[in-house]
Amino acid sequence: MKTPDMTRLALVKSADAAERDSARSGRAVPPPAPADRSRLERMFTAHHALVWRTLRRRGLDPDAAADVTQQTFLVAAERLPDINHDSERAFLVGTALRVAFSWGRKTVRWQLDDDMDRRVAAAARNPLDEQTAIQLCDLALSKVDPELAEIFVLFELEDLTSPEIAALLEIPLGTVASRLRRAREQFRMVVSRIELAMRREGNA
Amino acid sequence: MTSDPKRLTVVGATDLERTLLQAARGERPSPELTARMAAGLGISVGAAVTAAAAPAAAAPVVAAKSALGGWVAAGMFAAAAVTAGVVGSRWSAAPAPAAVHTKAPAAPAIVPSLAPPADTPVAAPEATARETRIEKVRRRPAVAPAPAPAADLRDQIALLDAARTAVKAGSSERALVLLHRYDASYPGGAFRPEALALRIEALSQDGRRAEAQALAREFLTRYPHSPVADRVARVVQK
Repeated sequence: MKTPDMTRLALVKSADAAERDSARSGRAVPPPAPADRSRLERMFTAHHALVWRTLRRRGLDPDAAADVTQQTFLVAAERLPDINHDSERAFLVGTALRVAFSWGRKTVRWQLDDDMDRRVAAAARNPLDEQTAIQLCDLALSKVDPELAEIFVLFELEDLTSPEIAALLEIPLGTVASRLRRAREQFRMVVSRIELAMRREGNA
Repeated sequence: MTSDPKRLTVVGATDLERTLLQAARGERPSPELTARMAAGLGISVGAAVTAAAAPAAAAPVVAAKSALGGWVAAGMFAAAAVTAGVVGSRWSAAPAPAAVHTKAPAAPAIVPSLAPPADTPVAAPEATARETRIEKVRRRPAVAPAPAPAADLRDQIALLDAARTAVKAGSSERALVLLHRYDASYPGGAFRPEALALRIEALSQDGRRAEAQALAREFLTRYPHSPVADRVARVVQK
């Protein structure tokens, strides 16, 4: 049976191979039509933040997320004719996740464990500013099973629909629903612990 | 039609959950990162895009990252006055795009007007040989360098655009001179990777294979995840 990771790996290899073929073929890349350039600009304007943010929630630092976002749009630029206008967002997110996966899990998971107490304490003592809230959100996501967190992020934070998520991760719709439900349970449990810890710190 | 449940932020979240989720939903790349990504793609985005990336930022800074050969590009996103700034050679066969956003005060397209004229005096070509040694510069310093003044950025972009044009025209010697001038003027310039990639291409074009390959290897060590790494690698493989 093919595990999700195996499926993802196969997709990564496929995407990487296509990229390498394109890059190494040595053939001159024909200049794009103005419409293609315009389309890429529109896509970038509309979706680059979403792609970058999705990668951030996956644990990449801002620079690394920008690198992967850029690579994602490079892939998109090469494949513009193949991208359905209605599925640009799903294509970009799916490609970004595959590229991030190819970077290796060690580089894409959160490394906040050591900072947990400090972050919670800081959040308890001071008004919860936006940056701290983001860090706490990432902290909570880091405690959620990665396979579930991915779906949680796409659904709850980036407003992708279940069918979109099912298509880009190549999993059944029912699996999306069940993973989302479990992801919510895990996320909410972690946040409730953070809230308790904040109260303790606040009362200390 | 979809049977999706409602988002947590809409129904059912606690105050803290909603706060965390809303904060994460609102995170955006900084103007610098947005500019860098766009520059690397050789596309132009408007001031509204970079402004939206971080509304509180007063002066977006460019740290472009671009590709070799068909993808080399350099861009300029000056504070609140950018309508177009990145022209990649991959796209150069196409007409310059119209600005996506025009909220900023009218500003001319920067790159073409800043390219130095063809008869601009240049430094002696012999000097370029010494410049092929790469400085060890951390790509992501712990402390971000101070933003370069917009005029500096314009000049940097102009130099690199002129160098890229020279490479495209087969004038590798002129390209190397311009790149030497860039390195001498901006040792900590925002476009060091782009300049290095162009230098590798120019050296290769000039028949200086050994130098090009040595630089290409260093490039791959310093920027292993660069979108142009594969293309630079081809120089090594030749």
